[in-house]
Amino acid sequence: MNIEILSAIAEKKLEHINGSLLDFRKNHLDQFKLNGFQEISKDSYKFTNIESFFKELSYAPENFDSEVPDFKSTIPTITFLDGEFFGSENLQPEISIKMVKSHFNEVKDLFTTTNALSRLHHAFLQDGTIIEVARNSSVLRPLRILHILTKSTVSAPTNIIIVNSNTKVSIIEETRVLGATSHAHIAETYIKAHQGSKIEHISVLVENEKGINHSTITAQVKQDASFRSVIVSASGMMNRKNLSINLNAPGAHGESHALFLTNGSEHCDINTEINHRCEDTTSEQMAKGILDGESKGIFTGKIHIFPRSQRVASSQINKNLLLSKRAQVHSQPQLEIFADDVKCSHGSTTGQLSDDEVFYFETRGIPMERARNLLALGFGLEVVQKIENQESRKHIQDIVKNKLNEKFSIGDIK
Amino acid sequence: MKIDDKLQDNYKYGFITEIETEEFPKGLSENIIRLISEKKNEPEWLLDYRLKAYKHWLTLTHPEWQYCKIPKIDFQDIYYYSKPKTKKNAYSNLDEVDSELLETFEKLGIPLTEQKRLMGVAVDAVFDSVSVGTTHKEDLEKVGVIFCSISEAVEKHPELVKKYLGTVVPYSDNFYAALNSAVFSDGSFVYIPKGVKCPLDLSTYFRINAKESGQFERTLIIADEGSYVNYLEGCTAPQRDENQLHAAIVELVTLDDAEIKYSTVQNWYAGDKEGKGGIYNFVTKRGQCRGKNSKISWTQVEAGSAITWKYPSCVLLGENSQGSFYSVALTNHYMQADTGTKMIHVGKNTKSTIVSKGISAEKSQNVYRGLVKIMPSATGARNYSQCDSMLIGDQCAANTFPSIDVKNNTAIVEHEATTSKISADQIFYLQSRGFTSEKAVSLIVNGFCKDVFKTLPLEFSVEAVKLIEMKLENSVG
Repeated sequence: MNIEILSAIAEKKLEHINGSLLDFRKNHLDQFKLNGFQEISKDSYKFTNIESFFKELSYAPENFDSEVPDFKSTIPTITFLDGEFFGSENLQPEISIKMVKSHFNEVKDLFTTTNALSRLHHAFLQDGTIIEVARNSSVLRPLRILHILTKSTVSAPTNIIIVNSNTKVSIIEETRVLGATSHAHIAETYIKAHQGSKIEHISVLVENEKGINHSTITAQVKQDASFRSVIVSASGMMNRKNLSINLNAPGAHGESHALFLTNGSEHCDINTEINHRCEDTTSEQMAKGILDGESKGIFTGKIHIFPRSQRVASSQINKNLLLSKRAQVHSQPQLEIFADDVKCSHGSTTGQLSDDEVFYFETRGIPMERARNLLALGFGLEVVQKIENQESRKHIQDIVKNKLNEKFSIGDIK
Repeated sequence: MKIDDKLQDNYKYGFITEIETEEFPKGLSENIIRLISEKKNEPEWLLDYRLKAYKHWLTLTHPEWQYCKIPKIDFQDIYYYSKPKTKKNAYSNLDEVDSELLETFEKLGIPLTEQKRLMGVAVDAVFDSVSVGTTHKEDLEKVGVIFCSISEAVEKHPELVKKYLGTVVPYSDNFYAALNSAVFSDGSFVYIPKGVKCPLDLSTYFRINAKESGQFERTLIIADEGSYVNYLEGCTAPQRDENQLHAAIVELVTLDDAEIKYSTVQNWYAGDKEGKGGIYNFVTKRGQCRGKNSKISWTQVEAGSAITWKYPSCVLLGENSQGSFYSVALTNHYMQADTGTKMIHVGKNTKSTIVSKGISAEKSQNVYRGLVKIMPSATGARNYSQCDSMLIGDQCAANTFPSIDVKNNTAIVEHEATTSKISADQIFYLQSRGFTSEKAVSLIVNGFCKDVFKTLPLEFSVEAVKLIEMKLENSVG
């Protein structure tokens, strides 16, 4: 898909839209037509040439033949099929849900970024949810927003999550691709954590090898609130995650944890940014990659401490496991520090499974393949362990186990 | 805690030597390059090399990716060649050198004259664009070590220079490498023959004196099979309100089982409290470990320059070769530093170590930027990097931009970094033991830098400690 084809598809999709949403989409489409992929930070996309990945996408608007398989789990779920609302079940009373399409005017001020990908997202802007969690409530069960993709086209969902004061919630944003469709999924998520709230946001992606997945998560964290992002991604042809956590008031705490599994010729680029905009804020980061085949993984983690943001503590760790000779990894931790009373650290390691560790398993009667499985799983699950909500954790753990099972050359994980 | 400003100015090398100089007209053109080449009696091939570099330079634009603000440099407003006036073009022995010049080096503490040569370090002293003198030449010649200025080497050992010049840093490498390749004037040349452990430490001392001139020196060190050399470099410049450019190239080559240790204590004038004046230090330093089991080690103490922008690097080609980089970069006032290293692993079982310590004080900016690249051929490669920053005062900045590219799964790459400040508790503890707060800060900073200082030769290490102390004297608040 080149710029012309993308624009043509977007144009076609405008047919049934009207009102301010139409103006908004048209405006961004015009900008995209004008600038194409020029409006993109060359630094930040140094290892990911977005335009060439889009060119590899073929456009074939076919429907997925077989029935949509059952992704039902007991977790309360809102389902979107190819970007359009499909159904919901087991929702809880503390959470109010509105649709972006019908409440567009309330949220349109959020869309302020102006790079090529957000233009593309805005030009295709589809439905999504505005989730608001009531004050002073503790929602024990997680909420799952499930996106199922079955068509070779462009989908652009939006999720807006507003968590009011003194509330605790765990939200899973899950994207599943069915069949071998070649599609582009451009998602944007906006999160507002009000004073004293605790949010856990889990973004999980299970892709095929043909899709492009670009998602942007922006979180604003207020006083004494904490936001934890967990990204688990079993990559597609190209998968890029932009996470930005803004710690805006004293006592705010941000966490970003990511695990990516790549195989074949997949490409996964995780870009995180934690902005300590105020004093007395803390953050913690862990990013891990398991790479096989000829895949390529990129981790860029920026910690930005603004002037006068004193008494800040921040730590970051990045670990990568290379399972094959031709896998590649680029790791770029970045610290930008403009205040002096800070404690900041980052670390990065890259290596393969240790022969000694495998040998230890073998001496205990566990065959090599199984030993490698267990070690890789243990390596990856450290990220999943960061999820606090038990139900969410169990759900993600199963996905990771299945994925390692089917995709990787390390054998069977039981 | 507040420490009084005791000293108004602590750059003791800021004096100017009143000496008549011979300069070529300002500006850069093919003509100037021909003049430089002619002045130095250079062979045709070298002039061709310079002209090629110049033509390439004309096609380049100034890079913009660096994390420092560089005011626009007018390359036509610089003297590209400046030398103290004498009857001769080159000094054949120290008796011909003007007494002012010798006094200058005396003042700087550089032992050029007989009585001080006993110190056991051979020195090549470079003043603006020319080498003033090289000591201990005879002793070195006995064991076959060639240590002279690069101009002399071009004359006496053209085959060696031709074989190695520009092979580690080609003129097309970057903007300032192209500029240097076109106009380089003097620098040191070292050749250590097979199996020789250089009996003396070698050292070059660079001094910029002339106004509005740029220094473009070129250093080339070759360690043949099984040889070893320890090389030291020092630099100072007078205190002036204008900025001056220093764009050097240093190339190191080690063959099988050879080792080069290269240490720098850089103390160019850094500008005054308001950030006026100072040297722009834009240097390309790179070493190639070509042979099996060869080693290159860079140690740098960067305490001067208005802007420091350099990445001493190692290309590890030979099997089992090792590269290391130890750095202390201290910035205060309005100084800016964007420094670090590149370790390119090509050969099997290559190892590299990076230890970088950045200290920023007052309104300065300190950046560590590093690249560790493991090529697919580098089976069993190993890297360990550590970069720590210390902040003194709340208006400075410390940034860390490491980049790690791994293309071989048998490689083990580790990186860690921390940023912190000197805590009030630490100062208080030392004060309760009778140290002044100034001494306490100096102790803590020296402790922070210990890992790097211990890799320096003893005399240099002492000097480095003093330099850091002196620099911090009135910047700790």
